[in-house]
This record gives sequence, C-alpha cells and structure tokens, in this order.
Amino acid sequence: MSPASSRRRTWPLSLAAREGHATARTGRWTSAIVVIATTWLIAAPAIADALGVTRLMEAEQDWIDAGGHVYVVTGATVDGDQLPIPTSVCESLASYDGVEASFALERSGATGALASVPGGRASVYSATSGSLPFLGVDGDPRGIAILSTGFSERTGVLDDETIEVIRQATDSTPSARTGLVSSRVADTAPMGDEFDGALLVPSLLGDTADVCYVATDAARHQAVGDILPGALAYDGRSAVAADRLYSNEFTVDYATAYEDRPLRWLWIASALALGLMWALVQWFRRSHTAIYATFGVRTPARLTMQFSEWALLALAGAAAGWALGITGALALGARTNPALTIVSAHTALTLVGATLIVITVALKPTGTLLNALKDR
Amino acid sequence: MRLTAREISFTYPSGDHEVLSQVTFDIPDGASAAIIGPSGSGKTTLLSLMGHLLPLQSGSIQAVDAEGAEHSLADTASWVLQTVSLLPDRSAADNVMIGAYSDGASRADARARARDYLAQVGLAGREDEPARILSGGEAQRVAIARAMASHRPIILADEPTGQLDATTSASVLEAMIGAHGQRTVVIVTHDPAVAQRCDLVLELRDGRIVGHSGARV
Ligand SMILES: Nc1ncnc2c1ncn2[C@@H]1O[C@H](COP(=O)(O)OP(=O)(O)O)[C@@H](O)[C@H]1O
Ligand SMILES: [Mg+2]
Repeated sequence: MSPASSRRRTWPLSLAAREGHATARTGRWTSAIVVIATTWLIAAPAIADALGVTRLMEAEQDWIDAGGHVYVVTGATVDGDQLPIPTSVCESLASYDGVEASFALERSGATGALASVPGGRASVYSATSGSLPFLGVDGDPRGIAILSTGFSERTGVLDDETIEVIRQATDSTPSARTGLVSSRVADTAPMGDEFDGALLVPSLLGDTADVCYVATDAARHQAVGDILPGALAYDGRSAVAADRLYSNEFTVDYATAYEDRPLRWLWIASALALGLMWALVQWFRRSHTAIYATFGVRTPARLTMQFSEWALLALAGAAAGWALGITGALALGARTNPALTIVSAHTALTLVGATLIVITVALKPTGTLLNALKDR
Repeated sequence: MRLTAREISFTYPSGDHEVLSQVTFDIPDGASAAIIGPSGSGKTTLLSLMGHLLPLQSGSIQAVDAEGAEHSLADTASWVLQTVSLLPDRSAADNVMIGAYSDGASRADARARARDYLAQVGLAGREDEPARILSGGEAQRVAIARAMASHRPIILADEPTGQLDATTSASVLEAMIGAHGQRTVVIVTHDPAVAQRCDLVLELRDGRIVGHSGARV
C-alpha cells in the first residue's frame, strides 16, 4: 500500500451507476416501497381511466344506436304544405365524406301484413336501398323486407324466413304484394320510436320522397348538417335538417367528454406522489449521500447514482404497474383498445413526470456534510 | 503530507459563541497527532473544518507535500466520524470499497483492499455482513478500514476507538497510524493511552490551543 495519492479523483459514471444499482438491490423496504408505490400509482389511475373511457364509449355507442348522429331532413314548409326532398340526391349522400349511410323514405305508410301470418298487421313503409346499410342489414334490396324488432317479436317471424308482404289498398294506391322475399330483422330505433312494429320494404321511389335519413360520423356531424339544407333543396327552397335525437345543453358531447375527463390527468398526481416519496427517501438518506460525497462522489456521479437506482426501481414498478393496469382494467370490464392505450399512456407519463422530479430533487444542493452525517 | 492550520476561528451559524478562536498548529508529514480537551471544547468542530465537512469561515488549512505544493484536505484526507457513518444495508466490504473507489481503484483492487484492511482492524471473514448488523465498535472499525482503503495521505478520526476495548483499541490504532511516515493521522481522543501513542498532542480548551506537547518527530 502506498498512500501517496493526492490528486483529485472522481468516480467514473459507470461505477456510480453500478453503485446505484447495488443500492436498489440491497435497499430492502425502501426499494420494495418504491416499486410497489410505482406499481399502484400507475395501475390504479390507469384502470380507473380505462374504465371511465370504456363507459363513455359504451354510452356513445348506445346513443348512436338510439339515433345519435342522425339527421332527419324534410323539405321546407310552404303555405302549410311540406315540400319533398329529391330522392336520388338523398340516396347519393352516402358517398360523401362523413356520411355513413343515407336513404329516402315515403312517410305515408300503408297498412299491411304478411301473407303467411294472420293478424300480423303493421304500417308498411317504402324506403330506398340505402336503408340496408343504415340499419345494418345485408342482402339484395330487391329480395328482402325489413322487419322491425317489435314486429318480429309480435309475430315470431325471425331473420331469413321467406315471407310475402301484402300492402293494403289506400285511397291513392291499389293493393300490392312484394312477392316472396327474405325477412331481415333490424333495430329501427335510429329512425325513430314510431317505426317500432313497422315493416320496411326497399323500393325504387319516385323523383321525390317525404324524408331523407342521414347517418354521419361523430367528427363530421356538424359539417354534414351544414350542407344538407342546400344539398337537399327542392324547387329552390332549402330543406330542413333536424337532429334525430333532441339535443340540449345536457346532451353529452362525447368528443368533448373524452377530452375533458379529469381522470386523464391523474398521472400528474401520481408523478408528484412518486417524486415526493423519492425526495423523502433521499432526505432520510442524506447521510448516505454525504458519505459518498466525502469519498469523491461529485455532482455528475451523484446524479448518475441516484438516477440509476431510481431507474431500476421505477422501471420494475412501471412494468408491474403496466401489466397490473391492463389485466385489472380488462378484468373489470374495460375494452381492450382504450385499456391498452390508456394504461400505456399513464405508465409513460407517470414515469416521465416522476423522473423529472427525481432529477430536480437530485440537483437540489444539500446542507453541510457534517450536519448530514451527524443527524441520521 | 504536512498539515498546517492558520488562525482558524469558527462560530456556528445557529450558535451564539465562538467555538474556535485563532487556532494555529502544524503537524509534520507522517506524524500522528492527538487532539485532546474537555467535551464541548471544539475538537469535533476543528476536525470537521479540516475534513471540509464544515465550510471554513476564517483562517486556512492546507496539506503541503514534500515539494511544498499545497493541497485541499477535501481530496487528501479521509475521516472517521464519532457517530457511525456506514451505509447500513451494504456489506462491510462494500462500505470499505467506497474508500478505495475514491482513490480510483478498480473493482478487483477495491475488493482486495477491503479484505486486507478489514483484516487489519480485526474483521477478517466479516466482509459480507451487512453493516446494520455490526456492533458499534465493529462499525467504527469498518469506518477506519474504509479511511485506510482510500489510500489518502491524511486520516482525520474523531474518537475512533471510543467504543473499543483496550486491546482492540491498541491494535486498531497501530493499523491506523501504521509505519512511521506512511500517513499523517489526526485523532480526537479522550483516551490517555491513545494520546500517549501519538507523536504529538494538541490540547484544546474553549476553542483555543492551550497545550502542545511531545513533538517526537
Ligand atoms: N451544529 C451546531 N450548531 C451550534 N452549535 C454547535 C453545533 N455543533 C456543536 N456546537 C457547539 O460547539 C461547541 C463545540 O462542539 P464540539 O466541536 O462538538 O466539541 P467537542 O467535540 O470538543 O466535544 C459546543 O459548545 C457545541 O455545543
Ligand atoms: Mg466531539
């Protein structure tokens, strides 16, 4: 041994990193608490948020199923009479961006029944073929008739049965039969409650029809609504586009509700809690930091040491938090898609936020070494 | 390294009186010096100022090498505190290795030094025990081994043998002081036997040097 060294020596950063890892591995309760806290502070808010978003999506789906994002367009009212809308324009709207389906309908429903089902009387409406995608029905428009769920329940006629619709004569139209067609049961709620129990026969309507139904996507609902009066104008008079569902200030705007959900900011609280906990750990350990300082650990090495300890513990906690968050959210009924993205986002944001605090805490100067070494 | 202290005065920011006044002394290269004095006379404060554990307010403390060049004690001195100052969850060897790392030792070299110096303070075979399960006296010996493992030319020790029995104290002291000229050692002590063993004795009273004896160098 030759105690001759007097030159200023600092720890290589690789040594500091190794020392930080050793501290993490031997840290017992401290390390366990940091890992467990990281796990839960990531998983719990992420699960809550994923469930909240799932609930929002389900509510939005229910709303769409009930006719949200649907316009009912009729002609202007002139001298007490309602003008019609142009059938072909209505039917062609479906090819526009933002329009998911559209069809024209003749409102004056005749009464009708099925040839094979005695007593199954119902209103029968004629609608253009766009009613198939609108109601989620497939098949050849010429070979089917659409039964509302109410009608199906009343008569016991199910999907894909061979039926024939007989339309009774009215003052203006003679009695008519569809010939043999295949039944399609569909939920007509998006069109309106008054259609429950009715029959819909895809037909070629004349040049004009009474009403045009337009289903839009959520993002472009407003934009589509703005062009409908002009697009469906008749005789130079703008049409009237009304939301199928009455909306008022209490109606949930799902895009805004998603943006504004408070749970999405919970990672800030988690990051603060983790950062605070880390600051506390460092405060309890200030004597350890002072020991290293008197043995040549200067700021860059100290930062490296604390950061590598934090990184090891936080990454372990974050991995566990991510896994727990996803399994927890799925087990509690969250949908896979928001669960994956939301839990991952919470994990990443909490980790980054807490790490920034950890670095800030590490940069904070400590008091005199003697004080740090004495009070322990 | 020769140690020179010039006109050191110190008042704790929170304190009301001067703890050290105009303290001046020299310790020759390779000598061992005992600082004695009643409790509260400023011994720990003086040692802490020398070890840069407290910021100096006035005066100067320097280490001077054989060529006359001056060095800061922050880089040339290791200390052994009155209170136990080990990393409790790390092994005895890991604690000693921290001293060796401050000297730029490799991992293998640091391990070897830990084994060597732990043996010198009577802790052979205890390398892998976590510091938290060591007794007070054992922990203090680990701190002494750590200071020696740093290979710094100066050791500053505050009551290093306070918790040791006479026999252990004597052997640890021998290890620390080492062969003459090997390192400069400053020891704060209450123990007359320790002071006896040192090359010179500085007596502190109310923050002043009142006695300076036995310069056997
Ligand atoms: N952190 C401190 N703040 C204020 N006064 C202190 C502090 N530490 C020690 N003192 C005071 O300084 C004086 C010298 O203390 P110290 O150097 O510890 O003496 P010794 O080691 O000789 O017993 C005492 O009066 C003590 O009360
Ligand atoms: Mg003291």
